[in-house]
Amino acid sequence: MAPVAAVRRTVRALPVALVVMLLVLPSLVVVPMSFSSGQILEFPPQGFSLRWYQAIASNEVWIEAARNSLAVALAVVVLSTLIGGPAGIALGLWRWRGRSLFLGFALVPAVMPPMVLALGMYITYARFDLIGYWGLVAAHTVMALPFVVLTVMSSAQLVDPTLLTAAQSLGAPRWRVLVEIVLPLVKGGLAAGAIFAFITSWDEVVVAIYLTDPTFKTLPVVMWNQLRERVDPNVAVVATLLFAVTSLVMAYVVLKGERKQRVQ
Amino acid sequence: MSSKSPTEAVPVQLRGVTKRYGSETAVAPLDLTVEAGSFVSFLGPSGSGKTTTLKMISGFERPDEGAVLFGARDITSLPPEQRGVGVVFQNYSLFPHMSVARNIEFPLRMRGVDRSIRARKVREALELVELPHVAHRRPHELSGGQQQRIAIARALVFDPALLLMDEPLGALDRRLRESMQLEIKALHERLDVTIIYVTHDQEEALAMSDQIVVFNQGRVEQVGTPQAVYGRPRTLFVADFLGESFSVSGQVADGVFAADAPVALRLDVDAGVGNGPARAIWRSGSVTASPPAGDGSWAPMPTTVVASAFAGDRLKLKLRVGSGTEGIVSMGADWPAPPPGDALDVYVDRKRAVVVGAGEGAEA
Ligand SMILES: Nc1ncnc2c1ncn2[C@@H]1O[C@H](COP(=O)(O)OP(=O)(O)OP(=O)(O)O)[C@@H](O)[C@H]1O
Ligand SMILES: [Mg+2]
Repeated sequence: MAPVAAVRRTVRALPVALVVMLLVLPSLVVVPMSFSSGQILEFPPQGFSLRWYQAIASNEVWIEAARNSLAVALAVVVLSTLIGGPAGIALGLWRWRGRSLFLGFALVPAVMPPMVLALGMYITYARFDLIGYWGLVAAHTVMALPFVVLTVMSSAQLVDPTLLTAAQSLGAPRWRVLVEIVLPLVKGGLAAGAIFAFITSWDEVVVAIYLTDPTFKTLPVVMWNQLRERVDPNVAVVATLLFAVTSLVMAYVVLKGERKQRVQ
Repeated sequence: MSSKSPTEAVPVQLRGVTKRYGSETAVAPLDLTVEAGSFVSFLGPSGSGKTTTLKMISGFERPDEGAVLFGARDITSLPPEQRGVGVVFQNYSLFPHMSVARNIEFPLRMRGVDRSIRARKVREALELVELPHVAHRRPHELSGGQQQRIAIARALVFDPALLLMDEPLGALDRRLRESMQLEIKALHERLDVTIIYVTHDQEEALAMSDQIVVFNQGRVEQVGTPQAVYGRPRTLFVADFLGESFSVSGQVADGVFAADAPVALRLDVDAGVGNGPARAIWRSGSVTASPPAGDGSWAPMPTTVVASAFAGDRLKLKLRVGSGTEGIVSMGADWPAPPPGDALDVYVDRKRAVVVGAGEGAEA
């Protein structure tokens, strides 16, 4: 039995090890680099200081960019849940004509190469003068929709349909069945979808490069520009901050999911 | 909730109600009247159309033809949420995100009932099902039997005139089911409510109902009191479905049933049975191995034992009559079970024989 268990443990550990070695560790090198006291971005960093954090905190460009990123991401969260939520519910609860086709369309943005999306959007949006805040919000909303639709759909699929029948038999018209029964039961899926939507927009760079202009830039875009101009620890600081926000959000989701599993 | 409930029990009438799914007829034209305040069971095998009929009464299915009436009111096209019918489902269907009290309150909120009245009614409903202490629990913190009692409380709290229950005890174990049967029966006696109760358990139907409606293949085979459908089945199907029975095949000619050879038995039959192949049926109580002395109505019948089983206070015997039909009867267990293959002379009570037609249309 023991060798089997060992094999099983290895098989389970392998993907985790790969992710840590190839993804997490290389990303994490930016963290020590951000605390460097030197002039240039290098690893290992020279000395320890918070000077680059102070530099960022007093730099209008970065602060402005962070504010823009947040404003875009929040609008994306609101719009994609308002659109993707009902779609996910309809897909998860009922079978209807054209359901698979609809689902296929809703998932297209998730499988399209970002470059293709970016180019297409740039050309079309430019024609309607949609470059800037609203253009980026629209593009990111489309990109976030698949996540919202999928997470809401899977929690709606778990709703026992006789609950809806029961509610109706107890005197609830259809809209009240949705508000009183369905919405509370897919709340978890909606929250997860909203968080994925936030992250999708928060660190998106390819489409953002096309759809922003000199007067309106998001954090990843400013980072990209800086990296090309000069390589100082500024970028490492911003990367560390971006990484921290994303990790915190993900940690919240995971911990909440764990707790819920334990309750049930 | 109380016996002086504002909504009075109503009679339910089905007139030529039909439901088809594609080419399959789930419910053939069906006529049925359920009297106000009565306890009626729909009894029948799986797929016989009980649930479909119930759904047409609750409004979740629309009949293809025919009409459903509550009292004098035609409600065929009224949506379910406006019918004011209480429904109890097999899997309880309590809302998992609400406390027990919120669950019971739900139909009252949907009706815009005042908050203070709601609180009182919820309390009364919980007392009715004898679970006043679970108000603040979540459904998953209750046992199956408790969940079903809460589901019943929720379906009754808005004083419906009609309560529909689709195999409400199907998910419970045998003992709990039996005690719940008594509780539901007691509830029915206290409240002014018509109950339609779906089951495929004939003992449950016999124990609980004022009337039993026996379904078979989307049709009603027989409607009657438990005594009538059990003791006076009108078709072979009803006789078989309602419990142990023992029968011999024969022919009816001019009001007389003559058993096929080698059984020598002749019985006078009701006018209702036409000439042709028929069966004479007996329930357990009218078949015995030792008839009371001096009672001329017992006729001997030679049989062969196919199988026997001890069932506590009774012996269960599977017997074959000479002409080939098999039946199961129970008898007092005060004698050793005969081994399979033995010949056994039993006696059947002529007075309590039921003769039904066995020609085309009747099921073998
Ligand atoms: N939604 C549906 N679509 C197609 N056929 C259906 C549907 N609902 C029921 N049927 C068919 O109608 C017939 C009657 O079904 P119904 O559910 O009324 O049976 P039932 O008597 O309640 O059986 P059970 O004791 O198994 O619950 C069955 O043959 C069933 O296959
Ligand atoms: Mg059924």
